[in-house]
Amino acid sequence: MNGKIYANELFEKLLDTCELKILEVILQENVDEEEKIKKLLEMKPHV
Amino acid sequence: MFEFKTSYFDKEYHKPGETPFFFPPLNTRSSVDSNLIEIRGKTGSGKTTLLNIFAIALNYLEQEKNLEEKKPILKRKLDALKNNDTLDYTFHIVYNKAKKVDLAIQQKNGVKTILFDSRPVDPDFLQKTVEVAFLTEDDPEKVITASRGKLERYFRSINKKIDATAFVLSKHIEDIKEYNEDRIRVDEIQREIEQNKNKIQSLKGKIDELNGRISAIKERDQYNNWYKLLKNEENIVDRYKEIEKKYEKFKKLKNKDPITKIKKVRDIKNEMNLYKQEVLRIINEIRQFGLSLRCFYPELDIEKMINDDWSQFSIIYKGVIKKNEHIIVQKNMAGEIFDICKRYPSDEMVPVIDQPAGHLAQRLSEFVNNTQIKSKEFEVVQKLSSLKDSYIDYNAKIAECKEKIDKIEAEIDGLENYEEIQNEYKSSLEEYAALQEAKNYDWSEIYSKWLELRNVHGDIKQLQCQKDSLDADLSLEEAFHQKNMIRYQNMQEKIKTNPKYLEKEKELKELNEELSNLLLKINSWINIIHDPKAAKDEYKAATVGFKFEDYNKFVDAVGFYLGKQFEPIPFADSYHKISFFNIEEQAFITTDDRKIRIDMLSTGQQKLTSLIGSLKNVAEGKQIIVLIDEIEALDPEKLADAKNKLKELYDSGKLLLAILVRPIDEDSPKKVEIMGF
Repeated sequence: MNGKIYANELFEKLLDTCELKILEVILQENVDEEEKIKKLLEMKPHV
Repeated sequence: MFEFKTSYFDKEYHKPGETPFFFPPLNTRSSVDSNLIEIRGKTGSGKTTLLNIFAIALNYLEQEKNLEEKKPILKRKLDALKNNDTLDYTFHIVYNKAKKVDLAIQQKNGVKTILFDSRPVDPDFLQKTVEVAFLTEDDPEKVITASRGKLERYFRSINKKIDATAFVLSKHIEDIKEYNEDRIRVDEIQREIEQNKNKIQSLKGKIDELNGRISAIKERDQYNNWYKLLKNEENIVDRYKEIEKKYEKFKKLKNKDPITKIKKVRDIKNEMNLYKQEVLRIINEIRQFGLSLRCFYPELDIEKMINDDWSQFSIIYKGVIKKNEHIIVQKNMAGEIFDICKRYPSDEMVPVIDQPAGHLAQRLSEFVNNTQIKSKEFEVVQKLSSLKDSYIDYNAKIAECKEKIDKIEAEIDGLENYEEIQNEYKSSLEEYAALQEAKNYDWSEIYSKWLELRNVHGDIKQLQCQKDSLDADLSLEEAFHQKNMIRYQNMQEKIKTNPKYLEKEKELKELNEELSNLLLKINSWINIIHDPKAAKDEYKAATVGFKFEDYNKFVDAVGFYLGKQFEPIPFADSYHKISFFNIEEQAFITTDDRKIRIDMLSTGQQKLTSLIGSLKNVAEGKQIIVLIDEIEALDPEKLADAKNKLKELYDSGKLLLAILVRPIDEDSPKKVEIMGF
């Protein structure tokens, strides 16, 4: 589950692109919360 | 023994350069010293994919010619994996039971190799020696239960992860908020410090002014005092001398021990009481003998005698004595001669009488004893006369005691006033001393200064009271100022370091909002997947947040998702392809738009057990490899039964390897757990 969303097709129907991108970052493994927040903020202007 | 390793790159998912999927995960062992294996793993950990790859490696697609009809979804999955040229795998089985088997199957860069006892063999070798029983759960109700459970667990695990990120994010937002509040607070404290300073300055000014007024009044009172002292010099000196004298007198008295005095008074009073009792006794006797005398002198007033008036009795007494004077004289004379005779030796001759002194003394004694005045009147008078003497004597003693008591008591009274006199003396002495001090100054100077200061007004007590109150205010204000200074310094220190993402507060808040929305959605999905009917009623009524339209969207999406999971289901003598599963009604919608309720389908609950039982009839010379996916829905008893049957097969030499796969608790610290059973 290294950033991959299980049942991706279901989530694609239920969430918009921004939400999916956020979820992908949050589901990344072996990445601490600070790093995730950093990544989320970095992609913020595009989201 | 079973050893395994798989990896592949999903071109639809991965971006170039990213790490491909691999199994087992990091820190999980890739070999088990058993041929009966149970793999438990979290959703998405790759355990089902492992079985799929193993099935491909074992030529399952070639073995099951009609898989397309029976399980088209599984067929598509296996085909996709088989056609992925990045798929690498290694499987190694060692069997040491009835016969020795050492089988290794591996694929690297698209080239598959099979080794039996370390020697390469043809792909056909597997079909001749091994039969694969790949059991994927296809009881519709179990599949639905498992899929819904799987989704719910997955949603919950996502929720936890979002929560964890949101928690850290909120902390950053809080830190920034606190920092901004601290900055505002620092400004406020700075203003407070300025106000403190102004107040302190103002209070100090007022206190200085009051101090000036108090000093002036003190000076006025001092000169007034000196002026009055000098003016009353004569009176003060006279009074002082008089009190000094009185004081010195009492000082001397004080040197005598007052307790001894009190004891002495008590002793004298006791003695005096004895005398008084004696006087009472005498009075009784006076009454008694007075009454006897009244027989001879009826005019006798007894009360006069009792009141110490003996004039009437003296006249009676003289008269009675006169009547018996002759006998009295003779008895007196005999007595006197007796006394003389007694002074000489008894045989000495008394001249004229010519008798020995002893003999004469005896005769005189006999004369005195025998010569009695035979008169009652005389006896009574004699007795009363004796009582009179005693009465006078005791009264004199009582008077003497009284005098002594009065004297001592006067001294004690003086001691009681001593403290008062001492204070009076002290105040007089102070006044006198002040006068002496005043006399050191020039009278005219004191007078002119007094004239100058007499117009200074104000009550020193009132002013002192005002000053005390201002002093207290000043102390409070200074303490407050000091406290504020410390707070100011601490706050300055605190805001010296900027919190992380200070410049990105807006973005953080937006992100937080987005995470909250995600959480709301996923929580609602959990509610729906858990109990669709209850959730429907809840969201029908919702006007904010997750609403009914969101509910319908989810039910639709999940319906299509679950529908796709299904292999064709057998119903009414034919297989039906599924396009949708209605979670509200628990019903399948087929591709030709038929509705089949789940409770209309056979349960197939004994399927697993009967399938394993049927494996006993495996072809001669072949061994079975059993792969069972998702055994979650089996209750513990059935699972144990299935495991026992597999053990029997293994012991009999028919089973080469069995792998059972089932989910692990999403909260487990391990992603995957592999063990023998």
